[in-house]
Amino acid sequence: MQTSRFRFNLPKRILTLAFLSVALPVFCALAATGEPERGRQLYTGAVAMSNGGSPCIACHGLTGLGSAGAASYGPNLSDLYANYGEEGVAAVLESLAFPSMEAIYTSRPLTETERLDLTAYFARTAEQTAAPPTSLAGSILLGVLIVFAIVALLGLRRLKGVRQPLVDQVRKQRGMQS
Amino acid sequence: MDIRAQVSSVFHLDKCIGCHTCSIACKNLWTDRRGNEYMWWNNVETKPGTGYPTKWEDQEKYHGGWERVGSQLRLKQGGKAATIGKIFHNPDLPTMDDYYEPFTYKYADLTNAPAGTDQPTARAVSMVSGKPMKIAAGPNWDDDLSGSNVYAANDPGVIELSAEQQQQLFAIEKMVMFHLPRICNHCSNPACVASCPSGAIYKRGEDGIVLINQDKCRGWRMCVSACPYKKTYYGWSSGKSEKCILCFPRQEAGEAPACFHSCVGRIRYLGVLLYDADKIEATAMKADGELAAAQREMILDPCDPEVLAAARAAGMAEQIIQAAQKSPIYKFVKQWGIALPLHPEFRTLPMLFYVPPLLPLLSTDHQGTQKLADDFFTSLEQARLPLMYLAGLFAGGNEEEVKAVYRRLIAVRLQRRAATVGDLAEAEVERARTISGLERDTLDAIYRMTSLTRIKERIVVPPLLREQAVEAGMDPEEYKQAMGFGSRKAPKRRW
Ligand code: SF4
Ligand code: SF4
Repeated sequence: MQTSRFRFNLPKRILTLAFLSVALPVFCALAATGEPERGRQLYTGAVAMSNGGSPCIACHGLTGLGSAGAASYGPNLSDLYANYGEEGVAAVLESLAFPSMEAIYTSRPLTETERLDLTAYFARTAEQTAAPPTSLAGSILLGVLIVFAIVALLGLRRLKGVRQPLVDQVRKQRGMQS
Repeated sequence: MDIRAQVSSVFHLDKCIGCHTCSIACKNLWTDRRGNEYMWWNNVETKPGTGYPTKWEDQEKYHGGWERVGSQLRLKQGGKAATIGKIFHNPDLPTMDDYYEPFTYKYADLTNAPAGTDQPTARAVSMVSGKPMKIAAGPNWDDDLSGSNVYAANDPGVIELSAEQQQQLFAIEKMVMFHLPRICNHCSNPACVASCPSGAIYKRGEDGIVLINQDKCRGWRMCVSACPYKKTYYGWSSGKSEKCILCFPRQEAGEAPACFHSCVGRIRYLGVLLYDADKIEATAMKADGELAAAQREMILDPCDPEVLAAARAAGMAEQIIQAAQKSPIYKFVKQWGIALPLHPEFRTLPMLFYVPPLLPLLSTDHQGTQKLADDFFTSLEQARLPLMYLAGLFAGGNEEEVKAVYRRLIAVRLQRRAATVGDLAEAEVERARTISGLERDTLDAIYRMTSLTRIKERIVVPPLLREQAVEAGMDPEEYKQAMGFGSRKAPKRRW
């Protein structure tokens, strides 16, 4: 029964495949804009890569993400799109053939949609006025300085000794050396 | 009425000779441990002077005690939120120099010195760093007006006086001073208790002694800054704060506290007072000048049947009531009205009272006694020690309070003079009595209590009945032998 049904459907299937082989590249070209918002979520790890690859933000810095986008293990990707263009980016994302990335992504490649979304996101980032990302170390340093400043301000009200100033005052009046 | 019992004291300042025996007795008994060298639960100051720690009375600097904010009483160092806010950096603590850097001498250098032609010397070494040091301060550095140009001149009470009064005070030939022995006042509105973030300080129910639980203390030192009398101290080795315990282990054994027992001038009186705890808040809210009188109001007559009934209903032991009836403190403070609290304006309601010193008071001709009928008042007001200064110490600035005490003390003196020297007309003594408002017998009783009593009449230690409380949990005999001062658990932080 089943065999006969398969046979019966075969021409239809072939037709479908033929349609797809023509339509898909066109469709892909249309969809190449991707969804930049989803790309951002993938980049920052808000949405997990479907094959389990780690989010880009773990190693790469990028403008528009504040001091969170200041990782410096890999190169900063802010200018990626401007330098390599759409196709360049797509090619890189497909193979990810860098020694430190291969280890992760050969077994956990990015899916087609993920690549498109990320490319769209890089494109959007490139459009934004490229403010350099604030470095994380700088932010921490600033925070520490602020804490020190607060402590120093509080310390100003501290009782700094009562007896010695009295003695010094009398010595001064009499023109003595302390 | 919420009746409580309080072991209170009176120090009679005319009798203090400034010998520091009390301080030494206390130091040997309680604070000769490492890290506690600088603390003197009992110290004796010279007045005028800045005391120990330097200028402790100046709450603009130390922020101790209570203040009135609207209709509320608040710690001067700030409420609960402020305490948490500065829990890691309490800004109001005295520095080491304000107490003094504890020191000793290299005595071994004397005995171990090789034979030679010069005298060996023992150099001073710091007990903090162990290094040789130049001694620049001590717990009684301004004793007997030494360094008065620095210390006496900066006494917070002296600064308040007019230039003329200051002159009067410091005229070289007429230099006056008196000694002021101080211990914890075991206040009825203690700022130390209120300030403790760990809830480690408490006032004992049966006798009102204020204690720091050594197991609960976390060493935040909020009490050190909150106590306006600077009578809690941080133990640098134990990591806990400590204060005068009014020798409760001695009292529980029926003994007088060590400083009382050893007092050479016999200036110290001790006894139970009954007071109405419901009145604490309203009393502490009074204006500066009314505080001393309001505090007297709080103290109840231990012979009044109504008070007795309320005390018994509250479960007060009969022995405590009997001790209260024999209390010399009740006589000094209430019946005779000749003892005043020290700095009542700090609003902690201190339960240690002072008979202000009369001795240097009368400086006009013939010891101020001859032209009695004419200038009884003027001689008092032209006192060598300005009344305002004494009022600042003992009555929140209310000179009338101090004057009333002096009139009584003068009446005692005149009556005794008439009796022993016999050079005063009876009419004048009678006039002094009328002015003082006290009967002949009362004046005699004051004379007896201040001059002739033995230790058991001066110091009426109530039976603290601690054994009954202890018995519930452990053999009292074992307790007595196993428990010394406070904690048996070694603190975790120790160096
Ligand atoms: S004198 Fe100071 S330490 Fe003593 S009870 Fe009063 S506030 Fe507390
Ligand atoms: S032992 Fe008595 S007389 Fe001597 S200093 Fe102390 S309180 Fe004064």
